[in-house]
Amino acid sequence: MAKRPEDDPRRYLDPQVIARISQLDLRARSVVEGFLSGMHKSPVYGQSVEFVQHREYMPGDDLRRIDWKVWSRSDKFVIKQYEAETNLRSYVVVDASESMLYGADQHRRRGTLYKYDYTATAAACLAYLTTKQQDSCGLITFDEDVREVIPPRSSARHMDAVTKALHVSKPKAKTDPMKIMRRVAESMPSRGLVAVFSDFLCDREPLFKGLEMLRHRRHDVMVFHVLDDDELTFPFSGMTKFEGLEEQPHLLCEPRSLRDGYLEALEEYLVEVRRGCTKIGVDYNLVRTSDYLDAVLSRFLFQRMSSRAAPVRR
Amino acid sequence: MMSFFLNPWVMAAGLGLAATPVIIHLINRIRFRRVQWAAMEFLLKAQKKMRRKKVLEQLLLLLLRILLVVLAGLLLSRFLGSDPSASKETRPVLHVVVLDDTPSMGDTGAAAAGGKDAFARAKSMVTDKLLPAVAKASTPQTLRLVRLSDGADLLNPSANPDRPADAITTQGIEAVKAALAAEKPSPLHASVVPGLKRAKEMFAGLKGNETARVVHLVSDMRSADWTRDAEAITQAVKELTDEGVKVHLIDVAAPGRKVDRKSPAYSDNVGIVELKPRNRVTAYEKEVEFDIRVKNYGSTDLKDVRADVFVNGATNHFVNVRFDTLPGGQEATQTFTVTFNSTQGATTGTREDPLGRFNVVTAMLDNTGSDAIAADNVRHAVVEVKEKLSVLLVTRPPDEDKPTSKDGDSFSLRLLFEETKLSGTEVVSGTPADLDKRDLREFSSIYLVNIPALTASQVANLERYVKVDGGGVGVFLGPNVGVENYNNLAYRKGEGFLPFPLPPEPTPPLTKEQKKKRDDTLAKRILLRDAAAKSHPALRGIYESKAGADKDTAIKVELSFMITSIDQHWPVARIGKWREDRSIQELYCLPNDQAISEFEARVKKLTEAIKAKYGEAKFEKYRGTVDGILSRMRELAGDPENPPLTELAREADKLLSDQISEGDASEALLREFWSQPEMAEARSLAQALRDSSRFGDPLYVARKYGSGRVAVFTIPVSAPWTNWPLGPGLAGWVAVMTELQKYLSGGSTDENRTIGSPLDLPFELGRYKPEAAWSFLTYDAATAEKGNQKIPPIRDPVPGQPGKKVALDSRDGAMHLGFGDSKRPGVYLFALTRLKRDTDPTSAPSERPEYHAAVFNFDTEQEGDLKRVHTDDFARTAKGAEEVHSLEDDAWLGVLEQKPTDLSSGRWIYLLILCVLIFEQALAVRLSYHNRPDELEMFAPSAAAAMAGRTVVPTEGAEPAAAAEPGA
Repeated sequence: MAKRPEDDPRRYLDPQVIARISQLDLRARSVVEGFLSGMHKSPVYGQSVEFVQHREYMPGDDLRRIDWKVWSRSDKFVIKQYEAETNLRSYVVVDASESMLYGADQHRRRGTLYKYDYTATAAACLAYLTTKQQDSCGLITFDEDVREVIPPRSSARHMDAVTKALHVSKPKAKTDPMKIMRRVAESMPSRGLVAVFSDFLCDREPLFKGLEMLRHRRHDVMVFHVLDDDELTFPFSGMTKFEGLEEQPHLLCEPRSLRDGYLEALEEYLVEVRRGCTKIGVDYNLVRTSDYLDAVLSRFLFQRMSSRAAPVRR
Repeated sequence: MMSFFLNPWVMAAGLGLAATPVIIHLINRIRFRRVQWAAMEFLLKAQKKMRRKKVLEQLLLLLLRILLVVLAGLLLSRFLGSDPSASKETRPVLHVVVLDDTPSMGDTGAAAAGGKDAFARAKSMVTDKLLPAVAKASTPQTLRLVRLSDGADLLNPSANPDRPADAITTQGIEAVKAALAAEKPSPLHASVVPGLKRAKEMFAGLKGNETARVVHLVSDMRSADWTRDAEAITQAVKELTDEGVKVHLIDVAAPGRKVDRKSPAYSDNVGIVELKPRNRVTAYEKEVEFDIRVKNYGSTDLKDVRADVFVNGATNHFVNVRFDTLPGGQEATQTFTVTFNSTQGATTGTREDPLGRFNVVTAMLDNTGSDAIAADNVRHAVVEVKEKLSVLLVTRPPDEDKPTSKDGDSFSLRLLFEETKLSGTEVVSGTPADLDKRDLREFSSIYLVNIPALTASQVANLERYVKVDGGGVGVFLGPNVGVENYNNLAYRKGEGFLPFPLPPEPTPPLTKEQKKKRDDTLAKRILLRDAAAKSHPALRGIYESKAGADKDTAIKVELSFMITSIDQHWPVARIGKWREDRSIQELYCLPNDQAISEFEARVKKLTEAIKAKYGEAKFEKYRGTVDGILSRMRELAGDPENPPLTELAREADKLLSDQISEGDASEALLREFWSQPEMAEARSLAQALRDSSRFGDPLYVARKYGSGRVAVFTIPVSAPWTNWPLGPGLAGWVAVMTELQKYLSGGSTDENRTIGSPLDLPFELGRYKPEAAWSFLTYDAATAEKGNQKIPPIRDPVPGQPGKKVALDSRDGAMHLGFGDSKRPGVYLFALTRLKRDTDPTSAPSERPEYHAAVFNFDTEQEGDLKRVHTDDFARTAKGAEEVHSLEDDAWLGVLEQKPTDLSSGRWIYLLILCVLIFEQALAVRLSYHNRPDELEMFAPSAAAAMAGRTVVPTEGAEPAAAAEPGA
């Protein structure tokens, strides 16, 4: 029997659906609820560093959490349960530069998400998801400088501040990644998880230096490289004047004639960014604005689990 | 500039439109959309990298599109080329139309399908197509119309050299129509070459290069004409084209030429190629044989083709000529006999009508099926019929000759001519001196009987009589013949009329023993030298049976040879130049009377030659037979009783024959034996032995000498050398002499002359008035109806009117009657006036009329074959001429109308446009940046992976762990 659209818990993960929701907090709630419903028996509950009790192993439990000492004594599989840790700090860093505004008008007309819209939604989702799990989540938006800084909180009202900060941060000016990352590092006194959302249309060297700085401070850094479909496929035709954002020059051309060259340069750039991130231990994720948001959430949760699991002694 | 185009405004528009691609490009540059673009970095990189290549490609595409527009403009504006006047004649034009009116143009092959004959099609071509097209030309056009058969200008019948060429206008075309209305195909054969040369003559009067010259050869373009005169045609066309003359070849034969059929179909035709009497002069009541040769030029076999024969216009019901089958492309010959008497319509002429002696025999084909040309179905021959044929019998003076004595030299000949079968002859006796005195042409033949010697003038007279006048001379070599005189004057090392030199002496008389031995042997004493001699004209009457003739003649003659005695003869050696002369043929010879023992060595040599080769197994089945014959031959050769040599010849004959008893298959077939290559040498030995043992010295030798004939017997016609004329072998003698007389009197048979061919009759210098009269006589057999109706003669001039004059000119020591005005098939009769000479008898008149006849017929051999020229041969033979045009092809007439030719009439412009279009499209597709499905994957695999929602495969270096699949 075919599932009705309204029964599909992932319906809010579709950017086209999300775009219809005007309020960011509602968007985030819809997305996260849909996401969690879609994960079914998620093993994420109960991660902590303080032991609480044993319980009998159930199929689906992580094998790593089996208490082998008990097994050796009683020949029974039991799971160790810990007290949830609430002081895991995570920061969502959002690029609010002008380049993130690409295609805003067209996407609005089409009812789809443009880069900043997508990024803001994803950031809100992460904040909601984090606070919903009793973790604290901060937000930093930036363009040529840091515009908004919302310190990490875990309260329910914290989402209001986050969504407000995302709303007020209109994309403008040129990105200076080095400066931003330094500010982010300074803003995060203790070790945490940093999720950076940006199109990274900037100089690669200061970007990598900035990210390296975060890594140097023992932050877990994950990069969500958000690009528009148009930027990935360059589908333009007909004589077009490309007006460079962020003080780039203009170019009048027949785009089809340059498509091959564009795609080659794009590939070169993507490879460079991916390798640069990999090299310094940053988790790199290329995300396009038409991707379902669960791609972002999944990658985030996976990284968060890794971050929380790291200090745990088995 | 405007003159370069037929539609110059279209070209102006085209040039304007040529800017369209540039304008479109510029408009596109103005009309652009704006996109605010973040990833300018990549775009700028791409632009920097591809700029030069893209600009060049785009520029090339732009140029191609401009070129396309320009080419289309050139095409539509009808570009006349860089020199517009080149395709348009601006000078006045003189057209010479050479109209083929040869007999083949009477080809009615297409008439059966409702069409016209070729000549009517030619006329129609000229008046209905060619001239109207020419009349449309913008420059003055003039015309001369040449008839091919005689080169006459049909528009200038008076041949006035000052008459200007006729203007080609509507009135002019009507005049041409009127001039052509009465024209019919001529019976005269003519080559294309004189027509082309005549055309060249007509251009001769034109000054400089002010007038353009065009020749139109309107013909049926038969292969026979173009093959025979190929070189001359090539030369004639070259001469014309070298002078800037355009030569148009217009083929009017049906069916019209097609591009895909270069060997066009042609009409079937059958015609009489030759009608030849074997005697030009005959006696009244005598038979004359005629050979009729008919050829089927078509490709289909004809059956039951018949020929009706008319004598002086009267149907001859006694003659039946029928060709049961006449295969396509082949000819056949039949012989028929006409007896010239009043029953069969012959006349001998009278004092009032001396020309009545010339009897016209006409043959006309019947039941010829699909026959395109009727004119070649009729052919004429002429035979002069005299009351008696005069024979000059030259002997020694009467006191030596003893003509009335049985032992006289010429007794038997006189008896034969006067009292036996040759009653149609009138014998005139004479001595060698008469050879100087008499006009030898009065005699149908001359016999020299045992003449001791001739003077040089007598020999010269005789030789002229034979060589030039076609007379016949029979020579009987008797005991009084002077060897030295004959060899020096009559033989003259092969130059004289005597075919061979005489030996120093005749054979000695036979001894009694030799005679007895000969009489005891049953063998022929006169032998046919060669089987081929049976068909020789001098013996054909004996050996070749014909309808109504005595079929046993040959047997009787051969039997008579067994009882004929020849005791002495002139042993002419079979060596020397005369053996190689093909005009000389030995007809009869004597048996070899050598002793058989003289052949012993040759028999032995033959035996050894055979035995040296027949040892192989394959000869085993023949060995017994061959051994038997060889053994018998050795026995004969070694027989001390010296048997007749003929027995050895018989055995040699057996050896060479393939079968001894007819029908006995068990016998060895020696034909197979001799056909083995190993036996080639032995075979020639056996043949030489057979011939030398069988054949003795020559007896009867005949030769052609000039247009006449000579026959020589190595024996006289009287005892004691032979008893042939008066002895038991008389029957054979009469038969042989009858044929001899026919042969000698038939030497001057007419040539197979064709209409228009020149006639040259030589006469004795000073003996004739220098002017002769001629008249024409024919019978139009085509008007004959079935039944007994007599066709009326057609005479020109009519009887009573004086004949047309022709002059005799003196050259080369003779007077020559030259005649070349024959224009119709029939007999041309010439009346000359012979003058008296001092040596003539005093009773002779001072002037005496003398008549000659010559027959001219349709040239079937040249005109009968209607096969047409292969289209490719025109390019080779008429190099430089325009492409051959068919009657149905009107496209080329536009040239005559002086319609300017432009690019659109050529093919290359379309080809060029097509090529540019293909190139432009190919380049446009290449530069059209149609997104290919694999393009993203090819150029940007990372982006492709992102678009596909998967992780890109790491290319090098350490890569992060695979990103989670969306929704995983």
